Amino acid sequence: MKLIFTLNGEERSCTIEPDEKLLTTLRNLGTTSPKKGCGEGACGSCAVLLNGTLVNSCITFAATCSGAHVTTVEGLGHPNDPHPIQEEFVKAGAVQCGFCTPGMIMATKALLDSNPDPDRSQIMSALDGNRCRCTGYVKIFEAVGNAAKRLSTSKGDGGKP
Amino acid sequence: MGRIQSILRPETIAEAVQLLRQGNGRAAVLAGGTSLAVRSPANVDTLVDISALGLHGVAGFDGGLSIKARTPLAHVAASAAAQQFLDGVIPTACNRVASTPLRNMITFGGNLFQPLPWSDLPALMLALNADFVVTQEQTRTISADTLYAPGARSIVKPGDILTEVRIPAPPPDSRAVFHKVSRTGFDYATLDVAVAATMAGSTIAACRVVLGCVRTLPIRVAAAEEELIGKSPSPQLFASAAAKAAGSIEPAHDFRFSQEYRRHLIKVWVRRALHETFGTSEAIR
Repeated sequence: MKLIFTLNGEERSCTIEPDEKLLTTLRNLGTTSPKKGCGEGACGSCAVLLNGTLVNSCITFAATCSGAHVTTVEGLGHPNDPHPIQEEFVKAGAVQCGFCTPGMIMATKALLDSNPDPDRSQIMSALDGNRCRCTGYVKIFEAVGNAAKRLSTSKGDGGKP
Repeated sequence: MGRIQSILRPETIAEAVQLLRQGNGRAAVLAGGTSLAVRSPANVDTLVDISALGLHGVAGFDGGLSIKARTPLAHVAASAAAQQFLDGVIPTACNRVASTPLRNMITFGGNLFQPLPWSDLPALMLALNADFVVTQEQTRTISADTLYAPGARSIVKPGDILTEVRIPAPPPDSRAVFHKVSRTGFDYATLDVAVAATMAGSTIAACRVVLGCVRTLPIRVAAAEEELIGKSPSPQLFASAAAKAAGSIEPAHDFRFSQEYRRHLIKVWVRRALHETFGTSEAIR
């Protein structure tokens, strides 16, 4: 069946299987930042924004995304022009193997879009669906806090959409 | 994989009902999809997506609360109407379900109407005496007591769509609490405890004590309710009601938790939940 949706601001048209999950569709389109971790919605490495809301793309039926707006890390920044959230993850040392990072970044984006000045417990709650199996969350939470500070003090320039 | 042949998105309830009936047992309602996406029943090849039927929103009615079935848990938790109802016990429970992305997907109706053994909300809705509004050719209302009675799943017919959950207005001086006991914040519940009670002066006029996730369906603990009703709240009363709850239930056991351990948890957490319900001072974690 045919699926038309907006991916990172660009209209995309593709053919999907009826029971295909959004994660598969995205990766088939070359958008490989969302990762398949657990495949059942528990780990968050596939998390993307669907119409601005954080969801696990591995358990989202692609067929239900007709006309939807999907945002992945590719829609936030590029290696030469990273998003402030991405930069703060690098600066804080919040990335080890990197497999969970795209989901962490998208969860952070969802949080800061709705709450620009989260406290630590709000950060922990917003990232409660994202698993890091390398080490822990101290540096990750620190990066989110730093990104929040930076985005709220640099409205209009460093803060991208 | 590969069993689902089509996903349909009707725009009216009548159309959705018709599609489900045409499916002749092979069509299922797709709401949040978190369960169906991982494991769809072997006989299902058609999913009927109910996201375009307008079944979204939370509103008060005559002192009660109406929650449309397709509302994601995150929206219920953020709703002002839900937060004002019984000190926000429903948002408290919603926020204990799974994780942020899953709460954005899991719907209020899905968690209640297709309950899995680890679904958290059925226990609270049974304690709050909720009604389930179900539409097919005609609209009918099923009480939580009926829906969750053992062996009562046949009350749900193919083609039925849950449209709304209605929690009746609590009498004056009512309160309710919900606790999920789990090893980590994200883990499935080892035990859910929901208590709803109404005071008449200094005595307990009505009380529902419900356990979730100890069997396949939530259980009202009659032994504990009978112990409490008509008496004045006291630590001794709570301890004896909790002991009766633990003694009257055969909790499921599995490779994670023994029956003895679950029974111990029931005794401890029912007691704590009663302290919290009636405002006495035993600390709750």
